[in-house]
Amino acid sequence: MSEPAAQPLLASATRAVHQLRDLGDPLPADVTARLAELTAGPAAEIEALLRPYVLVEVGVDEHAGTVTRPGAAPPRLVQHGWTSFLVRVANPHRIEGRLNGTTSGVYGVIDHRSHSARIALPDTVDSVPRIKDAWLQTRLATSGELSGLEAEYHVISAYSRDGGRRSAELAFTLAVEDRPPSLTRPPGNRAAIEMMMTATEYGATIEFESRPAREIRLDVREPDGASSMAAVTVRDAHGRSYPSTAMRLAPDMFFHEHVYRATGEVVVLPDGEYEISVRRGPEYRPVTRDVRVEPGTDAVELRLDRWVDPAAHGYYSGDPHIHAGGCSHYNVPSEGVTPETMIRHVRGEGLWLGSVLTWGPCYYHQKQFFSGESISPPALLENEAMQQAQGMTWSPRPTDRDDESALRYDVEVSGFPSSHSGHVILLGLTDQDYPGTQLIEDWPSWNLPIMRWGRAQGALTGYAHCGLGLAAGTDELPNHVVPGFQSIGSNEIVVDVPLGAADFQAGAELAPAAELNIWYHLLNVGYSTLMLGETDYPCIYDDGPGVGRTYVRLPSPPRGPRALEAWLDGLRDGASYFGDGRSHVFDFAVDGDTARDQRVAEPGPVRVTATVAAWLPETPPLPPEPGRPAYSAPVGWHLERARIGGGREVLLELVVNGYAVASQRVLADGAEREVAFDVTLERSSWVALRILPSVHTQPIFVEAGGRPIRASKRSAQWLHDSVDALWTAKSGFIRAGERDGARAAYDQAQAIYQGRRDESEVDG
Amino acid sequence: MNGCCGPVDTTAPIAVTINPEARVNVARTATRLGVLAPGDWHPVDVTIVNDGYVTGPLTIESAPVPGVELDLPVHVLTGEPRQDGGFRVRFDAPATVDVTLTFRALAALGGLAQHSTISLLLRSS
Repeated sequence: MSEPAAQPLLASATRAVHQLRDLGDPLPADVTARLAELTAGPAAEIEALLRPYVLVEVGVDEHAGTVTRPGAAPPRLVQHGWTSFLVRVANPHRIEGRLNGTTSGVYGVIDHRSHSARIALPDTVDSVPRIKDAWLQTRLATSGELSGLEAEYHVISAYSRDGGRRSAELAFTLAVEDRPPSLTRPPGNRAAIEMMMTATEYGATIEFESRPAREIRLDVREPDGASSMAAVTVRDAHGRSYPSTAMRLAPDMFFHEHVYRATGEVVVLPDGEYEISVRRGPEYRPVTRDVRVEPGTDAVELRLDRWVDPAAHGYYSGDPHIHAGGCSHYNVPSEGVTPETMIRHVRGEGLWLGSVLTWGPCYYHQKQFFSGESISPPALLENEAMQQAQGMTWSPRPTDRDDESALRYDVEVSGFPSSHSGHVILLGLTDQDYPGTQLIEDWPSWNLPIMRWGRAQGALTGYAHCGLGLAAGTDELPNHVVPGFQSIGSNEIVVDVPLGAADFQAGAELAPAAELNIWYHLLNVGYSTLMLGETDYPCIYDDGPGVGRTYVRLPSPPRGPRALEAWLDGLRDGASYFGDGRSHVFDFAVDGDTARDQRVAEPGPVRVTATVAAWLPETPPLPPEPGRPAYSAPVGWHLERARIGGGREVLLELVVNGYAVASQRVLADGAEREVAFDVTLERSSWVALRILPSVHTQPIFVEAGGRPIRASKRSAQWLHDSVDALWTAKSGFIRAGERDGARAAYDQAQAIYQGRRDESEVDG
Repeated sequence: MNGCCGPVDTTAPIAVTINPEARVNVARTATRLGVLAPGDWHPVDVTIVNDGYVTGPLTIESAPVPGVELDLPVHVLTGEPRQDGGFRVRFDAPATVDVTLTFRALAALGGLAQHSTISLLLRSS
């Protein structure tokens, strides 16, 4: 066999080692450091470095048959947990194909090319009969694609139901796609059958040692002692995550490191040293404690550390954009997870409301959960039998805080014929099917008819991930560069707002200039369009619901079937702000008045006041490993990005008609502080406070002398020109039969902007 | 959404999909690249399936890899549901290299975790 070239071997090894890290089973730091130093080999040193961590070596013969032999890695597993190892593949004949792992007696949880009736994958898998009697499960955590290199590395994850010593055989088959296809057998079986006809022992028998584990009850407590749901992250001294992310069942998600647990619920851990962190959204400081699990350990107290309580000020949080299915993060994107799982995630992030939006890929399955009412179900396991087959016997527990979170199922018009014009969010629908439609494909091919249909039901209508495609190559805010409308941001909002059909746009996910510019221009010409913080969980952010969030002031907590409607009423008429939840602005007022619409006799000086609170750790976090984002996303909203220098201050800005006219530094130590600005309003104006990129209030509109806000001719012109740019980019996607109607609406919007431009007092 | 989650039907060795949320995914298909002769530019076809109506530039990025030249043009997405694209590779001398390619729709969110990145073994002899 020729030796593999060092560069591709190193690339394969590095990918596998990173995969181990991401699965929570990292190799020792000195090994990964040495690997990083080996920029181009030699191959022998790479192989020697990784050999101790290889569980099995797979040899591929010239017929794509395989022989598997034990490697040097100690075959140590964890009872009720997943452990990941390297697999080395020797492929001297340079065969390309897909490697599949098998465990004797278990035909695989993942078997999507078989004759099983549907794609069977981890988060909704229904494979109980196949695995409940098997103590061992294995799966390749890498793609299994063999590149044709003479040697390469993959990763295998193994789950042990039992503790103690057990023997098992591991074997692999190689599916070679360019063989003559068989109508009755999936690729790979052919090679397996040929292997079975030889006398060769093609599997590796391995004596596993599985560390016994026990259920550890988590005693999650609010500062006042109440029981609660929280996000809990468990790592051992080697950095491994528990339960392993190699395979998780809903409500535990493989794209989280944390899991959501209520007071009294459990995680399963072997004896050892652990670092356990607990947090319940950004209103709480993360709390980390070291825990030794040993004989006699049956519970761990986790005391939450709340630093701010917006609800005590009358502000109630909501995330208007989360999903229970559809994104690639879900292994069955056409189905997803149930309300019982989603409410667990929403409670665990301390959100009062989560709008679970049904959309394209999961529409026909998820629409069954729409009821036109808010719900707050118990956080039950959605597939208890599967959990039990996996050895998870914990029972969901109610908490004292359960009724402080609710879900409302509604619709995001994404993956529909009109999606090119931006993704419409409809909040508070009573009917989720557009009139006269049977299929998604029947819906209108532009958004205005949908917005009007939603508003006729009393829904709040707006646009998701507003900044997508609206970046103009500048961080200046406001700016007057007309964007290309090349993606799925607040596109048609420039038509729908002047025609009275759009209420809001949602963001707090991307760069502020891309998100806020269009909003500022709409405000400058006299519209009272709302801006909401959202997450688009888990499409834009995986971390959890409420990464972007909106706080609305209400006279009483939003509870019961009409919880969302109460929250929307507050949003329409009252005070609110949005952001990442790491900074807050309460009681924002102009001359002591918190009303959203105010009238004064004439322009002049006003006093702007608020109570502001923000919290940052005393020192900035350590830089991330190369290639890993510092915080949630490369450009997302996060108060850490507002930190001034290496200190703990952030900049609070007063915005009038789109421009920051005054500012002051705020210490982000979690304390609530009264702030005040004295400013002279030259004309009817909108006024807001912001700490970018962390929090922004809705404006207060001050109308002076009975004149409506017409603060910028340039804003009106930008909006007018944006309608042209939008037509250029999107009209080709509108059906021929609807295009004339759309053009008429675009013309109408432009005429309105021209009128407002002429009414504006200044260029702006 | 028909075909939102299945493999792309194509004879190109690489398939890029942009989902309704404008996230970019890239995957190898069953089509093999074969061994490439040194000295010549070799086209590698890419099929682009665009369920997100994304327009604007789609870039292909790669760190330099000694021994191989990559010609990675910027594609302009039209928003149409399917487009053909590709790039070229050239070896000066026989070699085997592993290149990592990242596909980004610049006007959209870019990739979906590591799903917008693919590693490709290129062999010349």
